Amino acid sequence: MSGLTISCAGLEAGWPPDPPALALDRLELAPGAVTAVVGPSGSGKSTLGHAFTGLLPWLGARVRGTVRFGERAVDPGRAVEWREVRGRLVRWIPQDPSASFTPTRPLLPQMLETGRERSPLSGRLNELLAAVGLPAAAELAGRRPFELSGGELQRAAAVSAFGAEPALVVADEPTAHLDPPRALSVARVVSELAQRTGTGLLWITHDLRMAAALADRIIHLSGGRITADGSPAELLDPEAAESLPLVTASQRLAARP
Amino acid sequence: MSGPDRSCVIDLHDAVVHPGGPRTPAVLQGCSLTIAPGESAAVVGESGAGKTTLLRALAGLIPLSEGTLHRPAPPGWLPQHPGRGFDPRWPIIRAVAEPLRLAGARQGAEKSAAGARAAEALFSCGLEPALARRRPHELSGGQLRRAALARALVADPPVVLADEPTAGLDPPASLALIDLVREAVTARDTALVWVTHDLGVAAAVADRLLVLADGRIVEEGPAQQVLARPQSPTARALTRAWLPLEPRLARERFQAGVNPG
Repeated sequence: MSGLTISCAGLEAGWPPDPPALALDRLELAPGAVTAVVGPSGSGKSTLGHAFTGLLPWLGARVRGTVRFGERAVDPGRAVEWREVRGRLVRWIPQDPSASFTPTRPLLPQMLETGRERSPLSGRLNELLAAVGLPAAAELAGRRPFELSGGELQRAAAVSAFGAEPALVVADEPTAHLDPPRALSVARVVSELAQRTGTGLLWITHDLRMAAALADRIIHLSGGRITADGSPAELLDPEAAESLPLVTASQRLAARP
Repeated sequence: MSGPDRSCVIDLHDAVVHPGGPRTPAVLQGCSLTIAPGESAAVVGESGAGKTTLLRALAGLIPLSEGTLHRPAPPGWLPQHPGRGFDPRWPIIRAVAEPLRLAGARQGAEKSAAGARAAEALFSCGLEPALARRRPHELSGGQLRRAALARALVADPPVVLADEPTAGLDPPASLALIDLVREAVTARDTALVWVTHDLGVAAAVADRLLVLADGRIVEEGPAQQVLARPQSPTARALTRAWLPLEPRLARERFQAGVNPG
């Protein structure tokens, strides 16, 4: 399923009477591209992630516009249209890995659930588990989510997401509450899996350092609109005439020795 | 070791703390540190190193099983979530005055004087007087953070303890809070102990870094020195995992650790 161009057009999402949380004329993600979505709190980052994963109807949002996976158009405001899409064409890695799995059921079968009859993951499961430093399937079998650490669960969620061979994985601040060594290790795992499987990745964060390290392209949102869009070097150019508040604040918090 | 250092606002010596009770594992295991009047120190460490336990022990919220803690007066407390410590039924000013009433109950101070000092503290932390009579749910997150700082400072403590108050905030909001707190403690010559795992926040907040690992301070020194030449394994792990903001360097550092298999 990888190799699809993913786009949205005329996308507007909000919770009236509040002004729209997101209003995008057009956004196109190249096949297999790693894109970071950055912006201050409340700028619409998570709403964009929810739009691409079809979760907005569940959040009570009023939605207009179209999301496309290749030729296939989906209405981001109609939950029923996403039944065949979420899980197959797009997968979600949440901030809290324990939210990915039912605590009482063994982990392994949950990792293989993709909405298809047979998971494409089953053929290369051990390869991907080894790539992220998790034990082999035979050893994982029978273990329940609570028997793994938070970091291990986040790796399992990543293997499950990419192993389903979707066109896009949306990761919403998956490292936000981790200390720097753990955050870096999870980000490296996700980046490695995206490359290995050729899957597109939308990484939502307000951590510009992480965005600069892993993304080919950074999209900056403010007030639900795209206010900057370019390579990490372009967005973080210290010579830029008008810097974004997120960039200047990140520069002051860069801990330069 | 001679007696406690009376010139310090905090002198913790060889502390052992079992936060879950005497039969649970010790989280602080021989932890020692001193904080000088008016200095700003950041305690950094990985998750589970004992940062929050250390701060709670310094606040007197959990007892030491072994070791000693000397401090001339109770510290102020800046919580991670500004809503904590504000009773939803009370106007903001009443909650801000509460530390004074708790102290004043012993000293027989007047209630009206406490109200005036609370109003002054709120004003000095940049909260409009009109908001003082409101209840917590009527304030924005940023306004509540100002009120929480006023509450931490109202009794003129010699030191304020801050438990990752920037966790979950975006960089502009983090920086605004850091500037607000630094300005307030500098104006009063109050010392600051700020716990975080974010080296950028630590460097912006503090002149001195204390590195906590396995329940002990394993390294300390001027912030720039610890960041540039980390000595302990924990300080090295934290600085190695700290990505630079320059895209080319950030990518190099990131790629260096990606599993090639």
